[in-house]
Amino acid sequence: MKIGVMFFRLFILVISNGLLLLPAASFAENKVGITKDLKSLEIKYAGKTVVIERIQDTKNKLTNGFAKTSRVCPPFCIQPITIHPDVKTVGETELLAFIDNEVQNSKGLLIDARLPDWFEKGTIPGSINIPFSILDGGMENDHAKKILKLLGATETGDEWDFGNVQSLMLFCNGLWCGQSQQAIKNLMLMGYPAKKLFWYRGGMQSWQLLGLTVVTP
Amino acid sequence: MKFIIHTFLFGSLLALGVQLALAKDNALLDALSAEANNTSMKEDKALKGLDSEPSIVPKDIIDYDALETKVAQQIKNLLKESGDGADKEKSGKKFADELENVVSSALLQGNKMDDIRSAVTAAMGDIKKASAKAGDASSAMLESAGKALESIVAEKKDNTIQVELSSVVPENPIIIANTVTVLEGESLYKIAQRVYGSGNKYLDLYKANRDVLSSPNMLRIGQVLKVP
Repeated sequence: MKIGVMFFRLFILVISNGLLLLPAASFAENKVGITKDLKSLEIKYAGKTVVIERIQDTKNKLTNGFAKTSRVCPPFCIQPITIHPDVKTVGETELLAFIDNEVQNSKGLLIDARLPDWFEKGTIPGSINIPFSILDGGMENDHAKKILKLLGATETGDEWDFGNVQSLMLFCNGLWCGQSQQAIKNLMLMGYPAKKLFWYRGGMQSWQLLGLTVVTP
Repeated sequence: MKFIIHTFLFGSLLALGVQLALAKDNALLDALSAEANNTSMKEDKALKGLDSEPSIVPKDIIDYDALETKVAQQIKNLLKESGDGADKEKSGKKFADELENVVSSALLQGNKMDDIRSAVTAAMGDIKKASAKAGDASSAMLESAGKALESIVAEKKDNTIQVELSSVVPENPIIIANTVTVLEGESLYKIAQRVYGSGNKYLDLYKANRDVLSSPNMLRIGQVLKVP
């Protein structure tokens, strides 16, 4: 009996491949947790293991450009909470769950919709860069069409099938940034199902304001 | 006199109009340069490089072909990387579940060892067929599944003998799943500690409850979890 149980557990442990987080794994180290039960989240990203956690210095303050309150609007205007009834707007915990469940299991992609220079300066771990402007023009734009195919859409004649597309969670610089919103709008114009689209409105601004881990890809 | 005043007023209006038109055309540029001038704040070393503005770069600056290739590579890498793990996990779980189901149902029906063996052999045949389609990743999995199977069969044998001797349905933690209720302030780790005496077994709990847990930290007070 015991051998079987042991084997079963060993089996599960081996295949789980160390991808899962442990709510209390770094309980002792991190006094600034993410949620009450989640202290940090370990993910695999670009072949490396990255731990997403918050800056542990409780006196830390943002001193970079993301500490600014008053960017000129337009163009840097405050975004609404809902951009489409079927596109879910999410926060940090949903984003972390998305990385853990969807991204790590090849069911979804976390997309940094900013331009490459911004992506390279620092982004959310687990994200890939699809700049919003590459989707401009929709189906008139060959680049946009190729991106669609990369995301799992298939083209037969003039018909597009979005049945097997990835779930996408998009973000850009923050509450005052319209780039991810524009990317979502363009994806939907091309027929991408709204229910497969998620929007992290807080973007890099909220991410950094909470002291969450930023990586340079 | 009147003429001079009118000319002056008209001239001012014209100048203002030109200014406004220019301002509109260059609104973006102005916004960007104003922001650039305004970045006199002391920089945090950890976040250095993140302090400039989210500029809207003219589109012709970007090489979209190169960008597209880059995106393709990123997606490919990501799917490949996580795909391996996910496939393994999925097929591994499937194998383990199928094996458990076969053995469990045979046991519960009080079948003899030979019946169990033949049921398992038949199931293995099916699994082999299915996994042939699934490709390479599955073959390694199949091998370990086979090994796991051997031990399970061996173990069931002992159990069956016990059943025959005592004529009592064996208490089998795999077949008869116990449950545990999530209490306030508990993490999976804490529950594992409570149930198994070792928090490190939280993974077993999570695995057994993936159908109700979207992630290990998404617990609800009062939620009933299966204990494998």
